[in-house]
Amino acid sequence: MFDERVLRRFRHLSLVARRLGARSLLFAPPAKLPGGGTEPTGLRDYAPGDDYRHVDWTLCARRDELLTRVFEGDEDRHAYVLLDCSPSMALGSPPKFQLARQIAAVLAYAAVGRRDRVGLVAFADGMAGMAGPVRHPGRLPALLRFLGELQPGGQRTDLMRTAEAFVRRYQRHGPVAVLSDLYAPDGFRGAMDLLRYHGYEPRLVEVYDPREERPGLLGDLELVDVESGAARRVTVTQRAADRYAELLGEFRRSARDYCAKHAIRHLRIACDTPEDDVLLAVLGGRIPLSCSPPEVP
Amino acid sequence: MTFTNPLALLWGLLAVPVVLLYWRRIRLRRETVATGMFWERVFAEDRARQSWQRWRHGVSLAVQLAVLLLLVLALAEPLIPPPRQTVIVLDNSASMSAADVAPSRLARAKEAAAQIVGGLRECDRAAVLAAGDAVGVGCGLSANRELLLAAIEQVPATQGASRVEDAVRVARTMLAGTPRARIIVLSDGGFSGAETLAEADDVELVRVGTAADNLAVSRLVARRSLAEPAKCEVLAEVTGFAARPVEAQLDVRYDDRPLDSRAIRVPGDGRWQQVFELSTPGGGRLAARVGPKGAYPADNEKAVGIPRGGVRRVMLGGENSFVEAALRANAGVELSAAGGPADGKGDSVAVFVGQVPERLPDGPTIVVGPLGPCDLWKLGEPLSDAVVAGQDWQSPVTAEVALVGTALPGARSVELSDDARPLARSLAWNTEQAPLIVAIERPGGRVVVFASPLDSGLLPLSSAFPVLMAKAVDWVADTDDDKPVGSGAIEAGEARLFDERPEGDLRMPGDVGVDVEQFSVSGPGVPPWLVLVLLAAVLFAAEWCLYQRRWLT
Repeated sequence: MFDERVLRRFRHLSLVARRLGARSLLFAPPAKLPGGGTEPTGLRDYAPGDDYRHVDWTLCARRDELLTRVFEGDEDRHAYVLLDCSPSMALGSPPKFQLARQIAAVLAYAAVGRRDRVGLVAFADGMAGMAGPVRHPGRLPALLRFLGELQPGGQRTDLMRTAEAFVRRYQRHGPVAVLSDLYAPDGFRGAMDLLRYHGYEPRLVEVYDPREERPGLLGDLELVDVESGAARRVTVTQRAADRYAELLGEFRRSARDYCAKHAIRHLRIACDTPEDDVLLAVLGGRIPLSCSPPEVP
Repeated sequence: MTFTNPLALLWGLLAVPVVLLYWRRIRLRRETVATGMFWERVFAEDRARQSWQRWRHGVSLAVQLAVLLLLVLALAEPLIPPPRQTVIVLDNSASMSAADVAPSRLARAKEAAAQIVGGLRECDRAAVLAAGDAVGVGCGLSANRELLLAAIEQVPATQGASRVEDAVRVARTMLAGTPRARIIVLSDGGFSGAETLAEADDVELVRVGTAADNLAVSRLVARRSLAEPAKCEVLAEVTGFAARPVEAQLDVRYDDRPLDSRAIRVPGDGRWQQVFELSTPGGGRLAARVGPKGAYPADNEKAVGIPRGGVRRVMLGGENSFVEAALRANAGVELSAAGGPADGKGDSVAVFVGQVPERLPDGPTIVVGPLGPCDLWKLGEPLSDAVVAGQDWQSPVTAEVALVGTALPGARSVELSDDARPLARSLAWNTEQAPLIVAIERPGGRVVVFASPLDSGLLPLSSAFPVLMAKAVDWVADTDDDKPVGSGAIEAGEARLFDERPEGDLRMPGDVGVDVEQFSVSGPGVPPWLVLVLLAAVLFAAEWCLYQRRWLT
C-alpha cells in the first residue's frame, strides 16, 4: 500500500513543508540534555565517580592533572499516533479510515525524518495493535506495513480505555496525534485529559464525512449503528433530521471549544478533501501552529 | 345483509395485493450510520411520537383495508335496512269526505300516503288498497312510485261504510310470508275495531281528522198511504253525533219548493224524528236539509223520491189468500180476479200464483211460487234451506223490508235461462246463494219472482208482507220514464246508520293510532353506497395526511 511512489510523495510533501518552515502536527522542540549525548563541549576537573572512559588521558599526560571530557546532546524525542480503527471509520466516501491512515503514515514519515521515535497505536474499543516506536528510517517500511495491514474492525470506540492502556504502555512523553471521528459514546474529553495529565501533548485530528451532517435520511428506516450493530426501526421526519443536524453541530463545536480551551491542536478534515491538501496541512504547510487551525474544507 | 350487486364483493380480493404491498412497504430501508448516539438522543426527546410509530404501519394497513372494504361494500350496494314491503290501506269511506281537515280527510290521507311512497327506497315495494264501501286493490305490490302515486290519486271518495278491517285482512294475505312487512292504515278510525287494529303488531294506524261533531239527516222515508193513495207519509230523522244537544234548523222542500222549516233540538248522541203527512197525487222529490253545515256536509241533506200516486190495476191469476189480502189492503191497487192474466198492455200488473204460461206475457208481472217453467226460467228441486240469508238492500223492493232470517217454505230452485240471467237480480237468497226472490228487467216489462208460494211460514202473516207486495207492485209497474228521483236509493249516512259505528259519527276514538300530523315518514335518505364512499374518502384523506403527505415534501 505504501509503495515507493507513496514514499516519494511523502518526501516531496515533507520538503515542501520544510521549505515553508512548517512544522508537522507531531513536532515538538528538542530538549538539550547537559552531561549526556555524544558531542564534547569542554573539560572539567575529574570528580570521583566520573566514568573513566570520559577522562582525557592525553591532556592528563601533558598537563599532569586529571581532566574529564564534558558531553552535551539532544534527548530522544518520542511521538505517537493513535489511529481509530473502529467500524465507523470505514464509512465515508472515500472511507474516513483511508484518509486517517494516510495522515498517520505521513506523520510517522515526518517524525522519523526528524529522528524522532514514533510509535503507532491502532485502537477501537481498546488498543488493537501497536508498532514502534522506531527512530531509524530503515524501520519505517515495517511501520508502514503495519499501517497498511490495518483494517477497521472491533466494536465501538472507547477512547478512554485506549488512553488508559496507552499511558501504561508508553512511559516516554511526547506529542500524541489522535486520528478519529470522535464517535465515542463516552466522549473524548476524558481520554484527552488523561493524556494531558500524564504529560503527553495530545493533538486531535477529527476526520469526518460531510454526509454525516446532512445524511438525507427521511421516512421509515432501519438505522443500524455500525459500531454497536444495533438496529432500530424509526421514522425520520424532517424535524428529527433537523434535530440530528443540530446535535451534531453542537458536538462539533464542543470539540473545537475544548481544544481551543486546552491549547490542543485540532484539525477537522473532511474525508473527501484532496489527499495532498490534507497531508500538507498535517505537515504544517498551511496550518498556523500557534492556534487551532480553521476547518479544512 | 343483502346486496343489490353481490358479485361486486369479489373486488374484496384486492385486499390480497394491498396486504402484499404493505408487507413489501414495511420492509424498511436499512441505513448504516457511523454512530447512533445522536439519533438516540433525537428519538429519546420525541419518545411519544416514536411509540406511536410502532403502530402506525398496522394502523395504516387497517385504514387501507377499511377503505377497500367500504368501497367494495359501496359497489355491492348493500340494502340497509333490508327491503321492506308496505301495504297502504286508504280508508275512502263516507266519513273520510269530512272537511274538518282541509281540504278533506281523504285528501289529507292521500298526502300522507304519497309521503309514504316518497319515502320508499328503490328496493322497497308497496301496495295501495282502498277500504271504502268495498275493498279495492289500487295497485299491487310494486316498486314503481309513479304507479303507486297514480293509484293513490285515483282512490275515489265513496259514500259507503268503512271496510278497513276487510282491507287489512286482504293486506295480510298479500304480505303472507313476506319479511319486513308492514301495513299502514290511513283512516279516521271511524270503524268498529279500530282500537284492536291499532294494537296489532303489523299494523300502523295513522289517524286523519279531528274529533268533530256532526248532524246528519239520517233518515228520510216517504211512502204512499195504503188507505189514501193520494197522501204520503214522510219520516224525517236527524241524528246528532255530539256529546251535547244541538240546536238546528230543518228545512223540507218538495220539488224545490219550501214545504216546511222548523227549529229542532237534537239530543246529544240521540235522534230527532218527525213524521209528516204530504198530500200529493203525483210523484216528486222530497228533500230535507239540516243546518248549520257540519264537518261532513254530505249527510246534511237527504232526498227521497215519492212514487206516483193513483190506482194500479192488478190481475191476479191463481189462488193465494195471503197475496190476495195483501193486494186488497193496498188502496193503490185495483185488484181484478179475472180468470186470465193481463195481456201486458197498459199498466196492468199480472200476478201469477202457482201456474205460469210457457211464455210469460209482456208487461209488469209478479210470479208467486211458480209450479212450472217458462221462457225465463226452469224450476229445480225444492230447496232444503229456504231461509233468507241475505237480501239486496239497494233494491226498492226489499230495501225497507228486513227479510234476513225469514223462512220461505216451499221454495224451489229457480234456474234462470241464459237470456234472462243477464237481466236478473237476486233480491234475497239463502246460505247457498240460491235465489229466493228474483227481479228481472226484460224489455217487455219487469218481473218479480217469489220462489216460495207464500202460503205458509211467518212472512205472509207479518205486517211487512203487504209492504213487500206493494213495493213489488210499484216496482214492476214503474218505468224508467216516471221513476221518482231517489226512489229506493240509499243516501249517504243511512246505509250503516244503525251499525255499531255510523259513518256520520266523525268523533274519532281518542288515542287510537298516530295522528297524521305527528306521523313522520323518513325519506329514502342518502343511499348507503354514497355514505360508504364518503366514509372511504374521509378515511383515505386521513390516511394520506397521516402517512403519505410527507412524501411530497
